[in-house]
Amino acid sequence: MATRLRAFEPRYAAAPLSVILVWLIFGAVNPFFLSIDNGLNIAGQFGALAIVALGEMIVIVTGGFDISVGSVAALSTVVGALAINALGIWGIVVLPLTGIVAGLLNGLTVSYLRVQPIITTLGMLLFARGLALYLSGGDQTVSIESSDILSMIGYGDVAGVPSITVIVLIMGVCVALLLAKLRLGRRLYMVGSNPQSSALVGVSVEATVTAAYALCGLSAGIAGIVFLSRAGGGLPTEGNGLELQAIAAAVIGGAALSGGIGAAAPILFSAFFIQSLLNGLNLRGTSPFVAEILLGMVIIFAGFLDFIIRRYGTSRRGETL
Amino acid sequence: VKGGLKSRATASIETMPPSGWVLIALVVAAALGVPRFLSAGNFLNVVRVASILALAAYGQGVVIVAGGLDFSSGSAVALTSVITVLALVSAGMTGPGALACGAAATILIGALNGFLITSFNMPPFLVTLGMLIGVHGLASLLVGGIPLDAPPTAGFGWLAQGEILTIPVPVFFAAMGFVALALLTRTPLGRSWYLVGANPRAADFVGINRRRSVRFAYLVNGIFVAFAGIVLTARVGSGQPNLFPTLPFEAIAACAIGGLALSGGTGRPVQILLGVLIISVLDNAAVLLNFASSVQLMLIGALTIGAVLVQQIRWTRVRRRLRHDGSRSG
Repeated sequence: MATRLRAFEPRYAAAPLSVILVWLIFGAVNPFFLSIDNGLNIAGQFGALAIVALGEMIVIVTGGFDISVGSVAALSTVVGALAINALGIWGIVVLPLTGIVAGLLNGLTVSYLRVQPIITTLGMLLFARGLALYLSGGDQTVSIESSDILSMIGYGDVAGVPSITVIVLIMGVCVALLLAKLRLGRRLYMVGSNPQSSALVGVSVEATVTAAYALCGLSAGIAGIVFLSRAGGGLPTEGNGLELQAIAAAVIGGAALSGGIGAAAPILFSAFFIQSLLNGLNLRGTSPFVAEILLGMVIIFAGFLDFIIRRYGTSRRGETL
Repeated sequence: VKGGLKSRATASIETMPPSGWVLIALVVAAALGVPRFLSAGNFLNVVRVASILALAAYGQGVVIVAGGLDFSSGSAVALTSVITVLALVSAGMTGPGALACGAAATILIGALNGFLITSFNMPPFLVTLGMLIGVHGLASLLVGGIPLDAPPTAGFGWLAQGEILTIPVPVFFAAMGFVALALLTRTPLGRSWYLVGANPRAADFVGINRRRSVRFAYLVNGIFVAFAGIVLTARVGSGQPNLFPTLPFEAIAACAIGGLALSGGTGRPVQILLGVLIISVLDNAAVLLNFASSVQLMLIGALTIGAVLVQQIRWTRVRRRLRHDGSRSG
């Protein structure tokens, strides 16, 4: 019941509205921006960010956050590339596995050892980056033989839609189903909104939080597949700053850093919005640094919007919670 | 507070923060296992490098005690260097004037952080993250994304490389910063950070202006970060948009390793210093042992968590024991 009502929260409207706004503005300036080609181009590029942002949102719903996702994605490309070289193309399953292991370690440390998320995932950020560099022997790219499956994932399309977009949409649906239909999903919200009372009604806060970080790690591993398939090799230095963009995407997509609030669909809009913004400025030949300034302002504005909603929409949220 | 006499007696034994033992253990291990660790030259090198992190960590510590967090220092120091060099090159200012401009820009970021966080009740995490990204863009834009060298006439290299009585100049900055911080925590403003961080509602009840207190915390943070930026600018002698992007993470790690609760309300200046020294000694030992940078990263990552864990395990045990005693007597 509670989750169903949440779907109408005004905070979730910000991301889709931002997409429309960006498309109207850039479309008015440059008609090419509105072309289907460019739309598909953006949809192909926003893959890694959208996937990681979904995982990040799950952790944020439980009241934590994960700044290690960029490093973990890089580590998974390196481990995955080594596995593919040793085992053949099915070594690709090693990427999500690497992500899950890193996520599990994060989750166990946060929940059972009670180390704060920022310290835990900061440690993992440094450790995973170091391990990725170590395994690749410095900052070398671990090259792999090109394969049909990888080029299909990276650059192929399914009925005109880029494969990466298809992966993102499938993941979006999975996360939405998880949050709305599965017991684990319900528990993520419970633990995020009130850990004490969830523990009182018999929900294992530790297990739920661990699962959330494991899922976030999994998303980083899947983002690693996107990087690997696009670059054709393991990239130990990839994904720097991805964690910040992922948190930004989650927040613009309406997830509350205080926990208990978040949904899948707005996250996809929000990642699409960020990529559209970068793409549109790029088409205009604007410096990427201006895009950075704008992104920073958008993040702060998302916080401002949250303030407005909290102040003028509290009675409504009081009912839903 | 609760235990009265008994706890006051044990407190005198426990004045050494757990992180102090961690540092002693680390120094002993390094002295035994790392060649050339125990030399005066190396010691001065460690403290010279540590002083930049120390300045940033003092600021971070203030904000953490007041219940906040700051990610923006990573770009704020870059802005210091960029503005300073631009003031030298484009505006033709002298070294001290240019440094003052750079510092002012950084302090402004701190003030802006505090204003946004308190006025609109925004999560510090979000505001300072936006600042980190936005200010990096601004610093890059100002110099076109590549480092801009300061003219050799700037003459402020002394601030980073110079020595007074064989003690490196940055160490004086760090020492003065420490004294300033220690004094500050004894003023009404400094005390208010602890109360605001520990229990905002209680702070309201006793009549503390919570917004003003938090605003000043971010302003003080900005001042410390500005000094870190000045020393960094003097060290590299150029305006660099990517000057020290991991600074906030290292500063937060230093505070956590030192034993500050990231939830706010507790922490002594000496703990921040201990955290900084632990990280610096580790870095130094890894370099002296010729570890690859990848292994260094892994080590520091694992030890960040490890150092926090070591201190935490003791506390949970103590707490569990207290709870047992409580339930038995009640």
